[in-house]
Amino acid sequence: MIELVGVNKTFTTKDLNVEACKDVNLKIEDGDIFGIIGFSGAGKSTLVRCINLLERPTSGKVLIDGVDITQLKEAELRKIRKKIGMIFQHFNLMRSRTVYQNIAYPLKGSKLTKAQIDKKVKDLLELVGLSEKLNAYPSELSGGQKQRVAIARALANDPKVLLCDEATSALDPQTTSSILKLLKEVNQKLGITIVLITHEMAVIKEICNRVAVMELGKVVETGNILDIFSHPKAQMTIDFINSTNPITKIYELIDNGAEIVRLHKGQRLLKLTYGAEETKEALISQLSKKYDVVCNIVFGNVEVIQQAALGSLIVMLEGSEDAMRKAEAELKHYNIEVEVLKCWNN
Amino acid sequence: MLEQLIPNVMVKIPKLIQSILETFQMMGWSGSISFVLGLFFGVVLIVTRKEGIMECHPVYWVLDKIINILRSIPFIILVPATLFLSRAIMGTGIGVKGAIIPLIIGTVPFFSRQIELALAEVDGGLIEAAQAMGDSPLQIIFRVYLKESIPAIVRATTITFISLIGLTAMAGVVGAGGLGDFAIRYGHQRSEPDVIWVTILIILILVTIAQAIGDVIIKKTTH
Repeated sequence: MIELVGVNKTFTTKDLNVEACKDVNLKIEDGDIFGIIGFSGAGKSTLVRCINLLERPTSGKVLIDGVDITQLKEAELRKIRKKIGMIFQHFNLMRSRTVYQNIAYPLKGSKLTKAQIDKKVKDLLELVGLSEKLNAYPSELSGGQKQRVAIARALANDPKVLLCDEATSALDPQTTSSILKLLKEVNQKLGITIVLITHEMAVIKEICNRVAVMELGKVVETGNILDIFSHPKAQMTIDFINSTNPITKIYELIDNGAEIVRLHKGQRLLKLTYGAEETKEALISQLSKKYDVVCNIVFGNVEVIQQAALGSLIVMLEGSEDAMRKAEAELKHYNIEVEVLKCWNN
Repeated sequence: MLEQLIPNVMVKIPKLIQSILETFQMMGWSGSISFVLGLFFGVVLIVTRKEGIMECHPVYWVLDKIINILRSIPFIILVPATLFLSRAIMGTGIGVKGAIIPLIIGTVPFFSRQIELALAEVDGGLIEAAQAMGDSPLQIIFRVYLKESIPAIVRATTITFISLIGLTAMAGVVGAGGLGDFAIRYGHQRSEPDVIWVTILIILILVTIAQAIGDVIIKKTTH
């Protein structure tokens, strides 16, 4: 388990102090895929570097399995670092070494024999799907392949934790998703805790089970990813979620008075947001039958997060005032968030 | 035919060969010692500089200043200025032996700077990756800084080696002998122009060979 307790990091230059991390408290459980999201400059890169002390916190504790590593001597810290793998946005492979030599790099000075190292490197290459690139140099690889080599290198010492510093930010969407798949595999097959930082909510959505949202050096919200997506609290979180959700386009359409949201007599426009449990019920068709309202789905979006569906629908209701009120009450009864976007008025 | 083309050289062949050997001796001794020292000081500069892996401002500052001072002294003045050192260390201030100390002092600051520049090209991300993998500073120096910048180090070495050939010619003033001395003594002072031309040709060949070897190594080690 990784625990950050009251971590502060201030960079001091001649004219100003930059507080990159302010009183950060985080708990990362074994086996988590923990995402830290924030815009550039939010301090997430600094924070992830505080976990292996590439950046030393100005104050606060960094506990790894209960040991405060800020108190360790250099040699002891280096031992701990060998058990914390790290990958980077720009891969940071050694240009003068082949793929094989890059992966074997961290194994030099370990107790393994040459034959054991050879087996280890080849196993890792197989895991990341690059067995045929054994003798290639990094300059001969694509971005995605470089990151795979970097992942193999980071896993060479059988770490318990893998830190990912914007590991997919320099990659195209398809490569990103293949790397994320690999990371998930690493997490599940090898039981490695993953801490990843990113500025893309899509990345978080794809593989994380827990997330921390950072803004200006502070963690503004932490939690289970499903909770965060279904009930975000901090404005920053809401903004991040909206950045990946097409449903927010409705506000633009309403502002512009678009045809599809133009209402006639007895109509109103609703936004329904529902979580995992409610999606199993056939609510919309029930409403029409029970209350004599016409339900027209204008558009919708369903996110699948950790095998649960989170949906939002833009719905046009038509019927008598009374029927619509009852229908709305019924929806709320099923724990569906109802937001009236627009009502018909003369 | 050569007797007609370069008559003055042909009568001094043994002297010429001896000069070449003297140049080789000076190059060999001062070159290899300067290489080790320059590499060492270059590394010290890079690791003790600001944000370096063993940041230490006083060490960087002192070394930086010494290098700047030594580099600003013209070699022709450096030779007599270091005479006392040569006498103390080598036991003599003249001949090949007497030239080695000034040659080293003239070369090391230049080479250290070149090495510092070469090592500065190593991507900071690699250093960070090595630290994250639990490497010690000494491991980072050898396995990342030096290993990853072999092409740049070879380039710096070639440049320095060529400038060292120039310095050995000047070292002739302390009676060190060598090709420079040969050209000045016979070619210039006795007005035998063919001696000068032959000397230039030999030096040209030396420089070309040094450059070619450098280029081959750079090509082989760049990936």
